[in-house]
Amino acid sequence: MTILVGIVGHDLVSKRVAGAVAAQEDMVPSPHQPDFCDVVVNCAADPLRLAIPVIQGPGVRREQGPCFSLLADRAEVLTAPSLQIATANVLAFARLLHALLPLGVVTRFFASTFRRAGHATEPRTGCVDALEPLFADPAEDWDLGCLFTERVPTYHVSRTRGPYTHSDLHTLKIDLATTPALTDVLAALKRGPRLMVGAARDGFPNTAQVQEFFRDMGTTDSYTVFVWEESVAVVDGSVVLMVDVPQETTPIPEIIDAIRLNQLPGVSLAASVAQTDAALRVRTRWADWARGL
Amino acid sequence: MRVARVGILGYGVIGKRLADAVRAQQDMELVGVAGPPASFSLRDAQLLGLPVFVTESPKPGDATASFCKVRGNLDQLAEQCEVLLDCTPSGVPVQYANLGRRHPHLVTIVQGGEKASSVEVSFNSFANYAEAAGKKRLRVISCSSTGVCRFVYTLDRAFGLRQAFISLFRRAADPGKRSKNPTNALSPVMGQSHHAPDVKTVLPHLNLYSVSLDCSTTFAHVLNFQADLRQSVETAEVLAALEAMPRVVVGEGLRTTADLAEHYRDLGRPRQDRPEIYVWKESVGATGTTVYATISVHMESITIPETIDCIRAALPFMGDHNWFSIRLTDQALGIAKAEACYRR
Repeated sequence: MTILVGIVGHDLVSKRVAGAVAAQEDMVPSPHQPDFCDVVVNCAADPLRLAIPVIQGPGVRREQGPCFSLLADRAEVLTAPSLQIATANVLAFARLLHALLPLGVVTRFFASTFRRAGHATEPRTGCVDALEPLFADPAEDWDLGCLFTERVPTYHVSRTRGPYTHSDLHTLKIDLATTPALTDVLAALKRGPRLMVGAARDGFPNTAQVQEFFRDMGTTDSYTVFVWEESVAVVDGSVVLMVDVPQETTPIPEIIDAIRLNQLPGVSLAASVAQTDAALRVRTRWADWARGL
Repeated sequence: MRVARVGILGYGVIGKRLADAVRAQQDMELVGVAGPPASFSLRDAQLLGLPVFVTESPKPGDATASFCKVRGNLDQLAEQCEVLLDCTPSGVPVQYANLGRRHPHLVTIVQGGEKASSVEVSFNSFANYAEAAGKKRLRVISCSSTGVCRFVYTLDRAFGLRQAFISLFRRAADPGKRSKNPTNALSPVMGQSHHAPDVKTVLPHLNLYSVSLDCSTTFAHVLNFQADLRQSVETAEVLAALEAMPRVVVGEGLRTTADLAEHYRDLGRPRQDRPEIYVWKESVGATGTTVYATISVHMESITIPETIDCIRAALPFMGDHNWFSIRLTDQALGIAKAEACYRR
């Protein structure tokens, strides 16, 4: 079956969705009106309700509906009339938890998040030279509730916005019920889908160099989130790490998975992730990049 | 009343502020300021009427040759002082280590950029005032570390602190300086940052971990805390403890670090300085035994009050009571809180 995917709204995410859909073997972007598609990805500001399933993009105002991430409930996703894609940051948190949960129960989650003021093209993006604590983000708070409910008993996210445009950078402290070995943590992160673990000593000292690497590799868009290996530590039973999250591109693979899992009953989340990443040429292991050196 | 005779080496971001702070104290006298003869900051010192000394002989064209009436060299300044505040850039004080050997009477106080191992004691007014007595070479912990110290000290004293995790977002450069940070990038520090270990030089019993990154802004740092206490608390209790603490301002309604700078400019603070840490009231929350909060540190001025206290702490004749010194310093600098905040 080839899934006909309609795309509503034109923004930094939607134009990437079109390209990502076109790269998949089992879906095509549809030029038709939404009612003549199998599923619609909505990237407008307000939620869309149609007779066919709608994947609500990360920028859509939140309403009800399951929230999709790598930790989504497969059964809930299938044929759901409306699926909310989590924000890029919550998707990143989900990827990290997806990787770390096999190491043990997470008892508490704390994120000190640094958010870019906005994309370079956005005309109103806050102060040119200031840091601004943000005390609420309704969409992200909604997604966090979906992600952590019945999974992590306690969580807190502190947010600060600063004069910068590329990506968000977060410091996470994840408390586990059993203390893992650092080697196990690094191994788990390196296995995790859509997580790239790189080292500052290998030429990634700051976010600009991370961006430049992907530009130079011909994949200006990085669908992975980047974890600095030297930032990963185990401190009194907690995993501490820093992660770079590109805002426009992180949601793209999960949107593709949401489309596939909503429409095709025989596909598992893991299988969809593998299929999506192969089509998008997502490379997360440094060894895969370094092979060319 | 006997006054402490104080000299300053390095009239830069910190040195010029300490010069003003020393002159504001009734029990201190500023003997002079010293620096490289080419430094235009010494021109400004001369304009403000401060006695100017130089670290080497001026050459034609040097700022001091053109603008200053040079009173002498560094040794001549040191001879007249009881305390020398070394405010030279990080790594430079070691070049002047022999000064103490040539002038054994001299107490030297360096700033937080120097290694703790290079001094007899690291200092914070609240944490370890008494340890400074009689020491000859001391160090005030760094700007961000001072901010962390004030916050965790407050929680520890009021409720007992089991552990704290601190995430710092630091300005890339002071307003007047160049930055090594790329214009549009964030530069994370790999592994634990120096701040928690720095605070533990004065509060060794605390369990702290810190991480930091640098970002392209100039006004101030922002710090996020997750603190686990030894007892359950309500948010109101945490706020009350912070509000009762000197050199801590709890405020709301000022959105950004730029807003803070404007606010303190409007208050008439010299150089729009804010030696106090600013706690965003909107950020403070307590859940059981855990407290979350966001604060701002003005890195150019936060260590000034602590350095003044360090002078008193090091000189035996000035008294050994830290709360006495803290109150005197704050009153002289115009940042004093209600009298009750200083009763211990």
